[in-house]
Amino acid sequence: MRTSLRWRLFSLLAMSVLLAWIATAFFTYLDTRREISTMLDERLMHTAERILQQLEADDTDHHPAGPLSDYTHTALQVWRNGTLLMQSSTAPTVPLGTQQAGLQNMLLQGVHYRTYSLWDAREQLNVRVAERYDLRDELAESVARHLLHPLYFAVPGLGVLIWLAVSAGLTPLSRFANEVKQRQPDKLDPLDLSDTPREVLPLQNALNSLFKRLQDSLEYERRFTADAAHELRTPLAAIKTQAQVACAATDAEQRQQALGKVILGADRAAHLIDQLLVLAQLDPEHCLIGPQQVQLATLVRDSIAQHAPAAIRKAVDLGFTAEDDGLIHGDSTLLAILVRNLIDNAIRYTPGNGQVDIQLQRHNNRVVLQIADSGPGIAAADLERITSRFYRVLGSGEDGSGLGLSIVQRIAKLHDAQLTFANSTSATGLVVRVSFTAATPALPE
Amino acid sequence: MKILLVEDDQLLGDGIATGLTQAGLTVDWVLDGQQADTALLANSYDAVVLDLGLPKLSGMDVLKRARAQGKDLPVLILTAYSAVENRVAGLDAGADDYLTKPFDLTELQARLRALLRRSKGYADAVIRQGEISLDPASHTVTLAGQPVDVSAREFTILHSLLLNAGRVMSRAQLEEQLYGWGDEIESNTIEVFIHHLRRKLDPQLILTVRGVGYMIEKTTP
Repeated sequence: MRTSLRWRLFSLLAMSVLLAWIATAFFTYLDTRREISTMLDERLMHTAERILQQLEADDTDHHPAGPLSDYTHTALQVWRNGTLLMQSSTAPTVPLGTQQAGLQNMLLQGVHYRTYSLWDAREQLNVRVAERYDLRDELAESVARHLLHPLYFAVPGLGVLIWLAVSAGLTPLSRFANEVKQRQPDKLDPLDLSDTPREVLPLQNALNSLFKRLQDSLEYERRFTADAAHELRTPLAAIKTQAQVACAATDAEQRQQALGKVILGADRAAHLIDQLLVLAQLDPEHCLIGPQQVQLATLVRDSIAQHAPAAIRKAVDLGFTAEDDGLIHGDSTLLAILVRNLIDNAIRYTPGNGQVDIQLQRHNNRVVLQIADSGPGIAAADLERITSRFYRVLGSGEDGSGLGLSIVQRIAKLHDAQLTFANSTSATGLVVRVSFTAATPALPE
Repeated sequence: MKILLVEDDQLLGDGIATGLTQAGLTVDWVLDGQQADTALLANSYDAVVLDLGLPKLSGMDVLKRARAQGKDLPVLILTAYSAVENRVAGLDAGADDYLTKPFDLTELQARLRALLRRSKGYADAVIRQGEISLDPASHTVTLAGQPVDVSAREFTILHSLLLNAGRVMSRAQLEEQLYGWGDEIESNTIEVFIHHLRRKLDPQLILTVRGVGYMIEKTTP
């Protein structure tokens, strides 16, 4: 069950107010009870004194119970020397306390009484007055009830007020939610609401950062699709043109040649699509899942074995020296693609009878894969652009996809590896270095 | 008709070159912008087929430089970018027509024929001269309504002379129409083709301007 912030706030606030009110009422009740108690005690004492005065003024012998008949709520007994002289009709049939002067609580015949005893030494008179205790409770309860009365009307009214206040307080939040809800999927500019409360700012910032990443990702996707579509146009144009040449060819040899080129063009388009798919999987937001230990030397050897026929065809001397097994953490499939692309490029751009040297070295905690070719190298101005998508070494006459190094760069980045390109300092050619973090600690020197 | 093809893609360039040759055009094919620039300076072409995405010097730059040098030959651009602004930019830079990849080879041929015709001042697709009419699209020549069988090279020479009717074409100019780079030029071939054309059509059709070349007289229809 999803919690509602409004309900939560409402119930917490309402509960707090109610508790505060009940506590106040309770203390007021106690206070009132005490006040009533004092007041009634005073009245009790006053009554006893008045009766005593009356008794002293009158001839006590002749008024057995006269002055006491006025008292209906108060029980009275007048004692002299331990003998009950008179008592009111409301008095119980047992002595109301003792002769000892003062206030007392007593249980007489199952009823709680508050008693007051007044002793007049001169007349040897003892006046005892008592009130049923439950009368006091009733009075206190009645006062408390009156105090609580407004509560019956105020609580629902207050509830409504709290509900409205909470709703008003949550307005910026619902405005914020509305703003997000009403967004079109392609509207990813940052949220900037002037009235966003401080408490919601972290959420706004998190959303904005998500929007930014989404926008980057979408922009990348859009550019990628556009680039891919354009890049596929040329191979398709070649296939179509060669097919039409074949259709219009008058001699069999020309037709065969053109058809051969149609097949070549289809192969090239397929290769381009393969590379595009690899690159699409290597989205910048993509991260390496479950890296494993990979022996780079083995990957390089496998790749060299695959490329040997192409190298032999071009009479390119392809060599590998491994100073280290090159144990690193990574994704072996992606690393194989990286190695394959680099070796493929090196052989592709190395002229016949050239040389491609591959080295695997260990520098402290780095494993460095270096691929040096004897090709034309890359103009210094172009070294920056070499990994951009669809960049091809111009005028090389090679028909690569222009995606190889983009893929290499992306895979290197996923592995936190440093990829550097430099022209050979000793001879012509390009030197590509990929420096990985070694999986095993550096050996002591 | 001699065309300069500028296309850096091997397969596509090869296809276009072969396709245009099939249409009876002579093609010089270069692979980058710099070569195109040089070729335009050194040779005279009837039209250029220009890819925009070129190494070294972009197609747009080649086009602007050619126009700046006062070359008014028709230029058809090939572009992978189908967006309107790309085509507008190409046309505004001085191109006469454009095609978006992938295109139809027959359309490229037809558009080139139209460009060539316009550049020579003909509106009609079929060129007529007296009783002779030549249709570049179907590659046919008729004399008084009767089809005449001419070879591809004879057709090219007749086409050139008809397009330039009233002007003398030198032997070298005619040879240039026939041979692309790397073609072996045979001596006396022009004379042989002229002789064949005179025999097949009309002995008086092609005039020899001694020491200069050949021409067909322009008749007012």
